[in-house]
Amino acid sequence: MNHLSDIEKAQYLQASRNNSFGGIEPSIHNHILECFECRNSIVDLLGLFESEAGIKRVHHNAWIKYAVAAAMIPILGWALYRWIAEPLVPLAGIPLEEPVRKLEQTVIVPEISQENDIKKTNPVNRSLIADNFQPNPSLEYLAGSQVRAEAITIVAPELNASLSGDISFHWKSENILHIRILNNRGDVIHAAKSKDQYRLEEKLSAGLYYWKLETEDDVIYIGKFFIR
Amino acid sequence: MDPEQKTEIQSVLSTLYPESLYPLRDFPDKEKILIRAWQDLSHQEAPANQVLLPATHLSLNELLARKPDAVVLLFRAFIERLVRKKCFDSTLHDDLIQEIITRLLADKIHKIKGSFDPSRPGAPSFTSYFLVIMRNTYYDIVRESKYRRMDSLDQPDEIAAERNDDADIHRVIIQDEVRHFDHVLRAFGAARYKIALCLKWKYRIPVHKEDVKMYLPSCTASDLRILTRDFRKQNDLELFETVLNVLNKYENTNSKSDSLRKWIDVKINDTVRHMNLFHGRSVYKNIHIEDLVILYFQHHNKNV
Repeated sequence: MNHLSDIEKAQYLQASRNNSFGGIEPSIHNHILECFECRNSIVDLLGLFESEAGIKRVHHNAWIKYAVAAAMIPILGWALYRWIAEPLVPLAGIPLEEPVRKLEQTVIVPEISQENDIKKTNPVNRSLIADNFQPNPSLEYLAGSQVRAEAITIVAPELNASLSGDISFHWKSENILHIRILNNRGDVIHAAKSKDQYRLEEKLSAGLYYWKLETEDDVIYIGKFFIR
Repeated sequence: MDPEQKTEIQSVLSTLYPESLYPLRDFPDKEKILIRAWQDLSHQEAPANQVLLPATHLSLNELLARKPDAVVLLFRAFIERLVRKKCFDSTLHDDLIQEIITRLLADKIHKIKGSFDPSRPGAPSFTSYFLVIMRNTYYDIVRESKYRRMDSLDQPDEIAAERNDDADIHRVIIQDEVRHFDHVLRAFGAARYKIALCLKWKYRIPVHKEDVKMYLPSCTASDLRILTRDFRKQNDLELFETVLNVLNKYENTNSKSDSLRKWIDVKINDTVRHMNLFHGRSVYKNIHIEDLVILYFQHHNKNV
């Protein structure tokens, strides 16, 4: 039997981490189901993503072995008793996939005077509006750059575009990407996954915003736009 | 590097290697390694005027092309974890870690660079690919060298079984066991939902609607009632006959109940082997798996 190639194993490992097997060839899936060796490589590698606390080993010193053995008997009994008596709190595990977050909008929205007379606006509020347009030092530096040689083409919005109303993001890519929209303080205010587009229906406050396209591992593109 | 430059490079790094994708737990030295790489590259490529390169040169792709040794060091925590998990003699850990790093630097990282194409449709992440190569490198070393005797793969079940002791089952730490069992189930991919269902049926653990829906999303209410029935008063033959009548309908097959029972027994055997490889010896026999399965579903609160 031919084993899976390294790339195929890596694809399956990633699918296992993300709990998303849609893109896996049926032949790879069937092979993993039947081939103990290839499956064991996935088991090994999945174990490397856990916290250090979870992978401490029991050393082979006899006295430790028997001390732990003695301690484990009541623990196992207690755990089984608890299971029968009442369910325990679930084990805190690492999520299979980073949850898609929708954070609360944190852009400061100053109150504009009813008279709409900018001269009468509180100077503090004017400075808060200006704050929303302050460039973010780290994002600004990378805005407009395609930081990886991923095959993507950015269609919209253009870099530094001034926008209003619903905003549509379009790009061309072979893979599903994470899109994150950030305010000028670098807070993620919207996140989603898509292969080529995302429509933001929520109205954003006036300010400078950045958007990023990411794979599971890397930032691919960073763009920026203004809401006037 | 002046403080202003350092702040700038740190903010760029936090964008190129965000915590969500490169958590400190897995990449504890990333800042140190990447700043060092940036300084090295700056001095290599612009030694005369000391102009520092744009920090975008530190993207993973660029780093792989210009400073592959930094990429290997970035993954050092994974290398250490692999060695600690697989090698049972802690006195050999440092040597093994060093050997893996040396081989990756000397040879493998260049092969990775040549063969990894992120733009290919369905390409895995770099981290996944790197880890596969790293594990291969570990086994290359173990198979060919003095470390051979220290690896669990070199302890055939029959030999390890001679050392088996019923008390061994008690020396394990529950959370480690449950976590590792979870990895084994996850490695079965989409089939794990069926395996989890069969394990619950076999060990008479209550099956919930959610368990069935994970495997058979279109299951009707009447079939759900059958599959979530209390089978404690039925023997295995009756149980598997009952559930297979329903499964056949959704799987478009005409399997016999015995085939399902045999199928899950094969998966249990495989699971025992995976669990024993984790320990490097035969800690588990098939009869112990039942306790582990019960604890697993207790911890995972109903379903996988």
